[in-house]
Amino acid sequence: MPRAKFQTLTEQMFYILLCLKNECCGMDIMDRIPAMTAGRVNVGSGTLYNLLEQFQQEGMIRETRVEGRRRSYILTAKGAETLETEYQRIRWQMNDFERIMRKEEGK
Amino acid sequence: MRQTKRVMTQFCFYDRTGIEKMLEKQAAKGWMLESIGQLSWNYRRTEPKQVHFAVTYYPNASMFDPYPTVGEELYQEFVSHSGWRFVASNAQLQIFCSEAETPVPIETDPMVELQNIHKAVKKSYLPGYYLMIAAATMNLILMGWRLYENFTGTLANNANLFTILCWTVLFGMELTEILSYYLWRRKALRAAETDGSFVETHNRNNITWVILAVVSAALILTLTSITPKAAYVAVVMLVLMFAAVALVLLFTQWMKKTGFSREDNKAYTILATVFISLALTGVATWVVAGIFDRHQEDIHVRDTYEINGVTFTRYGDDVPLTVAELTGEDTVNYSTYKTFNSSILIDQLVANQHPDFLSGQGESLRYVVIEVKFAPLFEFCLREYLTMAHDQQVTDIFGNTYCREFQPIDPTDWGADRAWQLYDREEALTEYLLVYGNRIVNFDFSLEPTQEQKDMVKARFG
Repeated sequence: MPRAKFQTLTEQMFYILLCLKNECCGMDIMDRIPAMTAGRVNVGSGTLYNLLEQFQQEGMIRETRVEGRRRSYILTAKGAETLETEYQRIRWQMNDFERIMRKEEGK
Repeated sequence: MRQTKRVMTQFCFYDRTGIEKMLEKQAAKGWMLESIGQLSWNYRRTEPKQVHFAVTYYPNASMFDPYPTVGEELYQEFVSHSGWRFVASNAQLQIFCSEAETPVPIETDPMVELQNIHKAVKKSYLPGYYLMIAAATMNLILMGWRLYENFTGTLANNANLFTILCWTVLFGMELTEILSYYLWRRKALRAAETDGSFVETHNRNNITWVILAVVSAALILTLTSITPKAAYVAVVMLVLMFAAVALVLLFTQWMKKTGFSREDNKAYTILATVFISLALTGVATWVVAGIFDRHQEDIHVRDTYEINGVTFTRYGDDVPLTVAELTGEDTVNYSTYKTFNSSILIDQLVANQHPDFLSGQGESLRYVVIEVKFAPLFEFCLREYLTMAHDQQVTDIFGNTYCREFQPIDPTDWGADRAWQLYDREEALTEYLLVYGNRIVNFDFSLEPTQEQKDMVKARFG
């Protein structure tokens, strides 16, 4: 079954939105994500470009500034809600893991 | 030592992995891609080196853009920021390279990449293919209609066979391209969904060259098998077609360089295509009409005569069997003409001999000799001639319409394998259909043939 658009987020989508809690230039996101995740997550420039476009179309981010070709974005309320939902989903996953796996290990 | 080279490159638009591999191979040989032209990919000589290439798509670009749009430039700058260097682009196709050992790929989410490729494919690749399929289908239907109307005659012409081959190949290729794309996309979507991998595209470059070689061989065969004048027409038409395509491409290119907007360029290109196609059709008609006139001269005109101010022609073609041979008559006032068509599948000779209108007396003879070289077609040709009489309705003096028909007769007299005689209701006519091995002879004589004459027919055509 194909994933419904942005119903759940991939790791890359999650971190792009996370970076945009504060206003940030699109290109800077490329450097921020590896720094934020100790190099564990990298977002390709093409993927980032397309995702920013899609997030903007879905109203999850909005453009704040255009300086030459540098465009800055910030998370909207809808984007923040999507991010929160994803966070809750991951937390539920984590809790379930803890409850089942750790409990079994503790026996 | 030359510093640049142009290579005609055949790639599927979405074959990003195939294009990347080819460019990496070229760079390792010391050839770096410099630009992508309308007809060729252009390389410059460099030091042989290991370079990574990445092919991506910017769906909002168009081949009619005079220069990169702001969005496209932004996209290229975005990608350049991640360490990739922009190399060349052709409409939506964007090519970057990186000399880093393990650069971060431009596309890191196969699902997003597939969506992007699909957007580009829907915009530029599929409409063109659907258009070609529609054109091929229309031409194949027209050819199918010609076959239905005149099966043997159509297949007895190599030019027709070549036309059928070309449209069939084109139809097959375009359909295969579309089906392959959707099959690949389905597989790629599944892989992206399940393990986040990108399914490599298939390079069918070699198949394209093989098809091109087969079509070229068929073209050469066709040109050598038709008359020199027909070959001349075919060559002129081909040259005109290529010239028309080149002219449209050059015109589009010129408008791009001059700075025409995308919309204007598109509109003028469509206008130019329509205008050039009409002009080409005009030139082609003129060339064919000229050749046709000269073709008429080719028929051996013996002399002319006049009746009430109207001029008639007596032809004197060489035919394999004449009224004079059959009857011993003096046929000096006869007109004799033939048409002969030959292809790799069928030979068809149609011969006519009748007295001129001035004397108006004497026997008339008409026969068609078909030699079927490709056995599976034999019964189809035979059936066409057997049913030909059915297709022509006759009206009697009372206004009743009916069809004549061929009825089987004993072939022994004719020394044939099989034989039929044409009947007008109960009345036997003097038209026959005879089968000698792989030959079909439709023999129509104004007299009931004697055994001697039947033997003569067998001797000539059997």
